[in-house]
Amino acid sequence: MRSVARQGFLTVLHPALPWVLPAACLLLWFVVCQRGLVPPYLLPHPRDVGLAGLRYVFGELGQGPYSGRFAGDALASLGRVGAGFGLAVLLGIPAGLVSGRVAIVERLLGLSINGLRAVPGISWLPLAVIWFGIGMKTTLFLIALAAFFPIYLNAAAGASQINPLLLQAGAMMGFRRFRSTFGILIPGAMPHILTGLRLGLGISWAYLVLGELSGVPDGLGAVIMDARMSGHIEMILVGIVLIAAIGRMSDELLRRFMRLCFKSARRMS
Amino acid sequence: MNPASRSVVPDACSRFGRPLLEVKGVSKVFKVNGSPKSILEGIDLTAGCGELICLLGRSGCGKSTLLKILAGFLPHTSGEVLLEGTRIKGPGPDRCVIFQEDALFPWLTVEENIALGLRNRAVGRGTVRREVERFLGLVGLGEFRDYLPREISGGMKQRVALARVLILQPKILLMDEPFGALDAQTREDMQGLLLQIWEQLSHTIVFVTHDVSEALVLADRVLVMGMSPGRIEEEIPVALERPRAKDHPDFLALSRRLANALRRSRL
Repeated sequence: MRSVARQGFLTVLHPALPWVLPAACLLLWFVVCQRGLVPPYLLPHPRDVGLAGLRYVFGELGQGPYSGRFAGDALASLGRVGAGFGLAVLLGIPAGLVSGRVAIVERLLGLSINGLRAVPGISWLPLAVIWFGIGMKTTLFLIALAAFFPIYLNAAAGASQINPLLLQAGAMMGFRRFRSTFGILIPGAMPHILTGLRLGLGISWAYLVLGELSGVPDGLGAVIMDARMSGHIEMILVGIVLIAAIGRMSDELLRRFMRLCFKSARRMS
Repeated sequence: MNPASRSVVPDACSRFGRPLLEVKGVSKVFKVNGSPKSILEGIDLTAGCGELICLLGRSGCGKSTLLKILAGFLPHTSGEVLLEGTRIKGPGPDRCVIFQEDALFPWLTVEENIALGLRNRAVGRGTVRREVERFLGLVGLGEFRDYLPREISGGMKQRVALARVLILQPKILLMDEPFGALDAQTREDMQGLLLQIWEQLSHTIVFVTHDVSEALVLADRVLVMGMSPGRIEEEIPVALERPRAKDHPDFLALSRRLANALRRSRL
């Protein structure tokens, strides 16, 4: 009896489980602010943050400093992430696959790439600002650079760990290089490739904010920086929550897109 | 049944006077810790068209290495391998391999795995569909066409492996202990299936095994291999009627002879 009741409880709870922690945090935040335990200039009331968020997303332009700016900011940020991540994919996947299969290429690239990888992305910011100025190019450079490493490394791991029998089977069927790459190597490495892409996209969002902190007029990271300057701490929180939400959604979209496009992504992960 | 009396004879056989496969003085030397180690030495063998020969040997005698050389996956150190009188050059669809382990493409269904090799050729969709249908039927997997490799048993996987190479109409089938990982009953079923298909399609088969009774159930001729370095020790024709009963006195006698040959091969 008890175990049946427990089973029922778990079934009800299961879909709600991911939201338990956010809800608990929100509740704690609410209580702390309601009781006045922390002054509002450090932690604004969740109600104020909620209202600021609503104005930011749904308000009309010009009503307040941030009112209605969300669509433009989100679009600008998505464009930067898309371009930077795209560049990283374009370079990282081919380079990774080749160095995973060809020992001499791995020997050529390995030291340099692992050396560069050890440099924290943020240390590129001053150099990027000098080279590219403030704005799109710097952001794109930082995102592409940061996203490249997980994409490259995972593609290389996937390519080197592929079951050699699969490549032999392909050779026996008369597959030449092109067919063998697209028909066997890429599908065979797909679980790794997908992991690399997801890590890379996640990092893209992190470096987006870094790039935009350098002072561009629009974008979600720019809003956070701007809000700090003008003392709108509630807008900082709005920016953080929105980036979390959009980042999570873009991860889900990436997974769905890959599953839609590749049998191997659908059937092996 | 002797191979010449079977009804279907592949085109290759009628055109060709010499043995389909000729291996002449093949040896293989590997570098082990910097010093050369001879793995195969002076291997001579031939396989006639439609003949089923077994390479019988203990583990480590180099029989799988020999098969990889025939497949073109490994270069040999000296000697020559001729298929229809032409030197082989790398792997190709005229010499198909059935591996011991599962080598199906895990992201393709049973049907797609079987179709893959044909899709690579300039063959119409209708032909591909018809051929896939035929070979699915031949290995008895029609109902499982939409399953993924991870969803079917080991025996079924080897059926798929068989179908996906048969569809390419290879000149020779190279089988590397293909039933070694299966349970005893399934192994017997697969041996039966292989013989049935062989009698229908008359492929030339080189079958590697360490199992005396498997070699005797299948082969027209058994080549017993010795080791260090790997060489062909003895050639024993098997002139028993198929299907072969394992308790027949002739079967038992040959079986003892092969077991003795294997025992001697240790030295």
